[in-house]
Amino acid sequence: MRQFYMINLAFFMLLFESSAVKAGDPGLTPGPKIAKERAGRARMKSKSNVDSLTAKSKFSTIPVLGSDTISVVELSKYPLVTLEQILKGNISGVYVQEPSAEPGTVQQNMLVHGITRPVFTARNFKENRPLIVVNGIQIIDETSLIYNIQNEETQPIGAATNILSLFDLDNIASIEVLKDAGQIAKYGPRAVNGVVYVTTKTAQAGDKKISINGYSGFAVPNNITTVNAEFERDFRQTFYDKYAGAEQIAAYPSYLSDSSNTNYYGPSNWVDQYYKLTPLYSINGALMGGTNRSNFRFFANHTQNASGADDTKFNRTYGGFSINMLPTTWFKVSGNIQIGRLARDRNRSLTERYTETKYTPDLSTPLAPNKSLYNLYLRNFDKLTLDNNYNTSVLASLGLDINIMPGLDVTSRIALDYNENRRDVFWPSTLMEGNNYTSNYLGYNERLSFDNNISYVKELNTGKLLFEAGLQIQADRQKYNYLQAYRGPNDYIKINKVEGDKNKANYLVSIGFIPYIYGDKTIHHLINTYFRTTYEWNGLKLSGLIRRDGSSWQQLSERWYTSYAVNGEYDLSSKIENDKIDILKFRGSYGHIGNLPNSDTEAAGPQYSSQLSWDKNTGIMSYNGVGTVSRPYSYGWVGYDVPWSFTDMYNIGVSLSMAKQFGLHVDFYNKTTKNMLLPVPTVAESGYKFEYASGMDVQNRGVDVSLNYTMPRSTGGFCWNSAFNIAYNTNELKKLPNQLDAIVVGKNKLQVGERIDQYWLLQNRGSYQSDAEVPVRDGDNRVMTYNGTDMKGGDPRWVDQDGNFDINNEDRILMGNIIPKWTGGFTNQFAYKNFDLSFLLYFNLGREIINQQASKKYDFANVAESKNLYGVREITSWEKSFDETAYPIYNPWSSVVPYQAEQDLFMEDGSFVKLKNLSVGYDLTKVVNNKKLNRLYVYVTGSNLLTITKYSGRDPELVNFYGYDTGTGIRYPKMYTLGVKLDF
Amino acid sequence: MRKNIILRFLLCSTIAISAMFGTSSCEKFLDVESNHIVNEENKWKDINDIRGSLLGVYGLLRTALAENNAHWLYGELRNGDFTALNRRDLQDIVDGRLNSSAKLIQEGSDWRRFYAVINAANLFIERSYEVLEHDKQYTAALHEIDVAQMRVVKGFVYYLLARTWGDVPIWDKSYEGAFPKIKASSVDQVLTYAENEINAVKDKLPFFYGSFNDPVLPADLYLGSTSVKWSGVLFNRLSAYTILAHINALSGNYLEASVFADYVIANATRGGIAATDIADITNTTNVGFFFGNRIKHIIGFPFPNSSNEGGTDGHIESLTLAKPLVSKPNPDIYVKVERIVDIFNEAGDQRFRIDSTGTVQTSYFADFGGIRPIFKKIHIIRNGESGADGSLPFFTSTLVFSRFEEINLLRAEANAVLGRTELATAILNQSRKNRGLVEIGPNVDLIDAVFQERRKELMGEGWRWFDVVRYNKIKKNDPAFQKLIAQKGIYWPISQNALANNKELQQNTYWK
Repeated sequence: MRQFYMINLAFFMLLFESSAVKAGDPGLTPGPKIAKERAGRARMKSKSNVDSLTAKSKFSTIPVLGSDTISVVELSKYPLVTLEQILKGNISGVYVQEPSAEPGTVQQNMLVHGITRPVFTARNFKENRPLIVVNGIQIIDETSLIYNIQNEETQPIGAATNILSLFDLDNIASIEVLKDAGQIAKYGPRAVNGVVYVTTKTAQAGDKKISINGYSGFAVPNNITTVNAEFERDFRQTFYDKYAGAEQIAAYPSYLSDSSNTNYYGPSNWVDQYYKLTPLYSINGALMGGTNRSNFRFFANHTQNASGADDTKFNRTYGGFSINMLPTTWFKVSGNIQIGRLARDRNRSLTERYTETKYTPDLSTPLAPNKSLYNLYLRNFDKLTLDNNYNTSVLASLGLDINIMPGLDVTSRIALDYNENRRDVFWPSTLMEGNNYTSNYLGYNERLSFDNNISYVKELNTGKLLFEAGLQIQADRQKYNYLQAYRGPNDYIKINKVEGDKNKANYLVSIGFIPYIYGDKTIHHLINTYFRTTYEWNGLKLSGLIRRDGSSWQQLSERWYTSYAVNGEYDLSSKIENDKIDILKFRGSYGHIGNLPNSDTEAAGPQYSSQLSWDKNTGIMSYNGVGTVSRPYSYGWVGYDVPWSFTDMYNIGVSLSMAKQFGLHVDFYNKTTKNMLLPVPTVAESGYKFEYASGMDVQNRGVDVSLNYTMPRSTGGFCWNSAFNIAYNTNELKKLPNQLDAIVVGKNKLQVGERIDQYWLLQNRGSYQSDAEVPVRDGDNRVMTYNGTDMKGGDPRWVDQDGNFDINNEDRILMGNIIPKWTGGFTNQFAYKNFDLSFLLYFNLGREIINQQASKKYDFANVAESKNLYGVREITSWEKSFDETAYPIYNPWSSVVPYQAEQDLFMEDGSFVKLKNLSVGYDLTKVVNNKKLNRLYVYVTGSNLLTITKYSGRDPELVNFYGYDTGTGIRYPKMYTLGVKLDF
Repeated sequence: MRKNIILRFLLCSTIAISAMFGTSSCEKFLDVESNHIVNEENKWKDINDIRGSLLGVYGLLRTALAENNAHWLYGELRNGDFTALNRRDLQDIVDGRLNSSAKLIQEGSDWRRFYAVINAANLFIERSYEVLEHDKQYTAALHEIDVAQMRVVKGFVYYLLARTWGDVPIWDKSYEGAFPKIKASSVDQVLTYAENEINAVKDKLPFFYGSFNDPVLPADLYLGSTSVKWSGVLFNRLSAYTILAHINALSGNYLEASVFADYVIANATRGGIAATDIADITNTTNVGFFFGNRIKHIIGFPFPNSSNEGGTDGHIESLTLAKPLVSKPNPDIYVKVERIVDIFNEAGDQRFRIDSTGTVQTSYFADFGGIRPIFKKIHIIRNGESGADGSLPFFTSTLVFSRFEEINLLRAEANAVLGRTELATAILNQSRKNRGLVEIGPNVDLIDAVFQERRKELMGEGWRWFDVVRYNKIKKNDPAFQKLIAQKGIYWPISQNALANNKELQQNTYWK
């Protein structure tokens, strides 16, 4: 604590005693200008200073390299709507995971330099995500609170829209990914998993400029081979012939038993209704201008994106306004506001609907593949259904920038990030066994932050010195209210209207509906302080940072944490007598940075909450109408003095630039996140499922490489730009809490010395053809068992690793890679005269996928009996998406679950290379030759054009965080667009 | 220029002061109370904490019995009268394949949920006295009763553990974070412990909570409510005696069992319990026996619709009901026609009979003429008023562990075993008479007849398997079953989770 005050004291002394100013974000915003420079011209005039981010602060020790930024101009041509999609393949060390290509869905995740925490539940996704910073504002993530009341974690209740789809690339000046300690330390404990720094285009002085950009095109569904009940029957016949007993034959599904039933045995032409050519478009315009003393930029955008499947669409309406004012030469006021509204037409899948309704009706008969029947089903959605999904987001900031005296700047900024998530649903009674359903969700996430920074530049005879200090206060508030109601009076009353007046007798009493009401809220307060010194001289840069952060989500005794980082770089090029070498730079950084907890739960220490609900009844909150509190038995025991988790990280790298053509950047990193809190399975007799124990250490190591080649424009007018990036990442579990060597959590096992993203599978070595083939132990004649059940003919031959003649968890072994070992992309741009062509190849190598889709097809016996979401068969299950001859024929009714997905039989190589984007453009500016026209460029693009993979499932890109291809996500369509970019 | 500098300073000071304001109170700023959890500082302060914690223990017990329909998985299915349909996991239990890898069985074999109740009860016993200092409303007398309830709950849970898993560890303290690995105690030790816990406090318990007429606790309100809210919810004296009777019956001490059961019946009127006729038992509306909390539930766990505590899981209806009562096409479990006819083979039985014209008269089953009769004895949907409307099957039936008929038949069983044939016969005949049956004949095996009556009366209430076990322990006429008893095959296997986290435990021999 004392440390903190001392830092504060230092900060205030600096503030009061010195006398000059600079601003904002000394790492990333335009650097402070030297007084004499400023005297002459207004600061906004310099374009490079305002619009370009790669030429950042002169004093920054951040490697100012192209390697970690994306080509915004190039990517703005493609119909990419989320930040994840934009970054995919374009920056080394960034991996994007998504189980569905539904436009705008929240089910997208991004990792920078791998995972630091194992993923067992949907909440764990977040813990691995990087921090998103937009114009210096740390974006608040959606809350995980809602998972507390969900039976299934398919996706969160609410609009479930990715709020990182707010931005339009035409309004973005740059996107950078900050990965090493020297870069991220400034952003504090939220930044440990890396930072994605987005800068929007800002106001600039000059004549009024207008630019208009737009594209329109189509999402074109892929060719699908469909099947009907005949295929299904024939497929199952093999199993029935071989293994079915009287009981199984008696329970033969009725929809398959009658081959004259044209609903199932007729043409399987549902695709015409499911997959449709869908238009997509985007239009945006920007207007900017003003004087040196005050100028502005206005931007507006509307975008529609579509997947061409299940009528899913994404709409964005977005406006941005930025303004700069210079009342005096030493005082700058800048304001920026971005407002967006996102709307989604969501899929009509059963899985997502039942996730929301928490009610699984009878699943024994799937939807019929017949078009007319499917149409009847879809008609429910046309008129009667209400499904509104809106996200509204506001990002606003107001900054003051005061230059007190040459070299000394103070900035102060207040910023608000607010996003609201709303979903209103009504499903008619015809969809769910005669019950209609309505729900209303309203949630918001709000972050108010107050930033103060001071910087002082001192010119020395030998180099420059920069001092920076900052204090940031963040207040987060996250809240939701949710009402779900069943069985309204009829299908025309779609809203559960209640009396809102507290004084009336029927206050909040539902009329007709059976309502369930939920709500929750969390608040997080965070205080960040830092101090940084940078020294720069003659190609050498050195920097040191120390920070102290306090979080209300830490226990009282552990509230504050000190982090630090040092980094340096040295450019040798001037020392080398070779004029071919433009840059030869070595760099390195080391940091020790604290991690924030993920909820307010740990901060309370031993605690009490309502514990009456269970997985299949999460809504139960009281006992005979009385609210109860108990120890958190199902969550886990939390003790006192939970320390901060921290990350020790270092990296070393080299950059080489030669002959103004070649660029090579190589960075090796090693980051170890230590002391992580982990729910460890504990003595069952304690009553607790877990015990939260800190002490898990995970190390991530890897190399990021990027290579650039730029062929100068030749006399013939031909030029070629090429950028290749590839990243290697691996992790290792260094330590578990309580000196444990391994723990098992559900279907996963964590083993010290192994990676944390491995599957834990049985090894399959064929099958037992008959009972006689099942091995019997000499001596006691013990027959090979599976968890105690005797194996029989028709069961799989699983390897008994420990030789105890029982196949159980001890025989599962860790294998495979969930997170790809190698990720990267290869971009090429060719230009000839006014023509240009570019493409991106995206690849993931060295990763495996569990083909659960295939496993489920074979596991039809268990699917048919399942009363939960596992038993759901979507309309897309009538696609032929697996090879019916690829797997051995086991007895599907065997109690050993022969087709369980957790065996190497279903693990496949999921490496792939995709031709993600391709565009051809023509610059018409000279053809039109109009004085007012600065640029006229037309282009066509194609996306998701080609995939090269050995994977037998649908698309190796669409895999969930656990590495499973469930086959339920929406496929990537091919997208073709025609676009134009106009600048006046 | 000078003026400028002053201005600049002024501006900066404003910022600095506001920044100071932010930081000077920063410790306060970082103290944020959570909205969804209660920390130690704010707990055990007033009578509301007592109520929340006390009911929390009961609630956890309800969860333990309801999750995955555990009460019926343990008690109704194995070797019982029900057959599973398209549910191999349930059929595995029926056939006694409890080492099956089906998720339901794996989860069912985990006793953690029961130990959560024990931990919560231990914690209450250890900590509730703290409220005495802070809240004058909470008196020592109330505290004594609350602790007594918790000890009865503990005893009850150990009884449940012992009859389901056999040898289990005994936890007498909450241990709060420093969780030891404790060896299993033998069934007898566990039952003795359970009996002692209840014996020590049984007579401190009132008959009614929140009634001025109660001899122990004559007050109109208990924890803010009258006996209307608490009857059949909180364990009263009759609950304690009923549990004691069962503990002793389980350990074969039928003499003690008969004493405790006698006490319950002798004090029936004081405790407000009485026989229930079959129309009430099978009534599906909000006046039905299984709807809400009733004083007649000697031990019961309600799921009131009014506070949205119902659902699908945790009610036998979710397994037994199907078309035409609810929209589900087929039941998960049903009793085969032949078996029904075989069990209810006496004339005049109000539960099921085929009268002289060959017509089936039954209030236990629906759709008897169909392929599979639907067991609808317990059939409470939502608020009960819409009993016939099963389109939104959220069930709210109370999980009744014991009622008058149950404890009375146990009394008959105990007396029959003790050779008090006359008394046993009288009790049994009275029970039979209530169901429209004639007195048993002179040559009928009394023990067989008692168990047969229990089988009919308590069908679907989670007793069948435990009755079969007790029956075989008395009769010892089935060598295969004796072997099962000897090898601890009558118990469930201990879950992998429990074994993995406590190396002191050993799997029950039969399941090794």
